[in-house]
Amino acid sequence: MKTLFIDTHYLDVYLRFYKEEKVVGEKQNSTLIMPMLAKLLENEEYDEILVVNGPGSFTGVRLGVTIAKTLAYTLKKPIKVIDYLNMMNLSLPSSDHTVGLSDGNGFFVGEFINHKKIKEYYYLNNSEFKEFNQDNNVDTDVSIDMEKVLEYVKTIDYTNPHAVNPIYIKLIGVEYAKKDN
Amino acid sequence: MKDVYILAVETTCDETSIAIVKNGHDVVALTILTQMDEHALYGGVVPEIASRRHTENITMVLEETLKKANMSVNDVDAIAVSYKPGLLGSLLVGVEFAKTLSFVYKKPLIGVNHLIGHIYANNLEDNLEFPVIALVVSGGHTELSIMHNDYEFEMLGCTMDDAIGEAYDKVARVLGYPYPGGPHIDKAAALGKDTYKLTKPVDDDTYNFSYSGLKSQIINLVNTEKMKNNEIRKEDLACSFQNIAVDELERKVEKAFNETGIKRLVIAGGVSANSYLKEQMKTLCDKHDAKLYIPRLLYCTDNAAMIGAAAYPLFLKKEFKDLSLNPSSHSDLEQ
Repeated sequence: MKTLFIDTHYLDVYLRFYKEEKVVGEKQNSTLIMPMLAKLLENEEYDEILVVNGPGSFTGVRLGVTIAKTLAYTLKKPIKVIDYLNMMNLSLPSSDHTVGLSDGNGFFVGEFINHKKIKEYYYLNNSEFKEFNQDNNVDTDVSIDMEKVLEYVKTIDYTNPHAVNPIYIKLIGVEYAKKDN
Repeated sequence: MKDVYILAVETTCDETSIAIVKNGHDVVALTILTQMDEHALYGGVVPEIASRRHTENITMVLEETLKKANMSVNDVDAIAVSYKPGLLGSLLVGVEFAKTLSFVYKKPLIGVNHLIGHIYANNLEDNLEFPVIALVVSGGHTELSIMHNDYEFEMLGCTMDDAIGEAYDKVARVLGYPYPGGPHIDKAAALGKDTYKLTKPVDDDTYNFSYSGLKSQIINLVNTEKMKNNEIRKEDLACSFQNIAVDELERKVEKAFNETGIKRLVIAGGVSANSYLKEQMKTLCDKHDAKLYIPRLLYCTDNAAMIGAAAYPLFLKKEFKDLSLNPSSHSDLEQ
C-alpha cells in the first residue's frame, strides 16, 4: 500500500510518498504545489491519498485539501483525512496530554486522554494561551512520528471525496461580531 | 473543423460555477452554485467564507455539470479557469482545482480574465462582431474600451475612484436595502420620481468616470435628513441616484459613438443586469442606429459559460498556461 501524503497546513508544503511506511519521496515548497506534485507523480504510482485538513493557514490547508479531493474524485483514489493536532497527539509517547499548535497570533489546542480527543479543539490567543499553559503542560514542540500516524490511519475509514474539507477552529471577524450580538 | 469542447471554472467571487461550452458558443452544460443567501446575512460578501464554500462545493459542481452534459473530463479539449481579477482566496480554489484537472487529464490549461469573460458572455447567444465599444460595469469595474478584435482592447476611460456597482451597493446600504443592493435600487427607482437635486460628477470631457462623490453626497444627505428627523423618500432618492449614475454611462458611450464612428456596443458585468441601464442603452443605441449586445440575466451575473466562451479564441491561438498559473486580484481588460 503506497500513500500520497499531502500536508499544506503550514507555510511549507509537504508532499510525500509512504511505501511500507517509509518516505520514498519528499518535496517542499511554499507556493507551487501543483508543479511540485506533477513532478513528484511523474514516475510514481500510489494507492491512496492522505491529506491534512488543518488546523493552520486557512489558505494553505484549503489548497492542499482542494487538490487532494479533486485528485481523489477524478482518479477514484481512496482518500483519508487527518488533522495536525491528532498527528501531534499520536506522535507523543505519553497517552494523556494537551497539544498546542501556534499560528503566530495564538494556538490551536487539542486535549487527549488515552490518545483520544476528549473535547472539540479550540483556539487561544497568545496571552490566553500563556495563562492556560501555566496550569497545563501543553506540548507545542512535537516532531511528527509518521510511523505511528500511519499505523493509526490504517484504522480509520475512507472519506467520500466531496466531504473532504478543511477544519476551521478559529473564528473569523464576522463570526466574532455575530457571536457578540 | 472538429468541435472544441472547453470545461470552464469560475470562482471569482461568491458563485461556484462549472460549464462545458462547445466552440465558444454553445452551452452544453452549466451549473452555478450561489452563496448569496449566506453572505446576505453579513451585508456583503465575506471573502473567507466565499473561499471555504468553493472548496466544499467544487467537486460536487463538477459532478453535476458532467452529469448534465453526459460527458467525462476526458471528452473535453481544454480546461479554462477565471484567474483574475477577483477575491484572491476564491480565485485560488478554482485555479488549483483547474490545474489539478489539467494535470490529471493531460488537457491544456487556459487562463481567462473574468472581465473579458463578461464580454464574451455575448457570444453564447449572439455573435460578437468587431470593432465594438465595450462597457464593463460591475462591483469592481467601470471601464469603457474599444475592442478591435478578439483580445485586442484599447482603453478609452475608467473610473477614477469607485466602481458603479460599488456605489449602488453603498447607496442601497445607506437606504436600508439588503445585500446585494443593486436590484433593490433598480426596483425602488422604478417606483420613485427624480426629485432630489444631486450634483453631477464633474464633466472633464474625458471618458473617465467618478462615482465616489455621488455616493458620498447621498450618504451625507441621508445622515443629515436623519438628524433633522426628516423622512427620506427612498424610492425618489434611488431614482435620482440611478438617473445620474446611468446618465454618466450614456454620456460617455454616446461620445464614443460620435468620436470613433463605431456603431456597436457590448455591455458586460453584474450591473448590466440593471433594467434601467438596459432600457437607456437600448434607446441610445436606437438613436444612433447601433447594435447593442447585452446578455440575458443568466449570463450577466458570474457564470462559467462565459469563461468557456472567452477561452475559445485563446484555445485557437494556443495560448495555454502551465501548472504554475497564479491568480491575481487586480486586472483590467488590457492586462
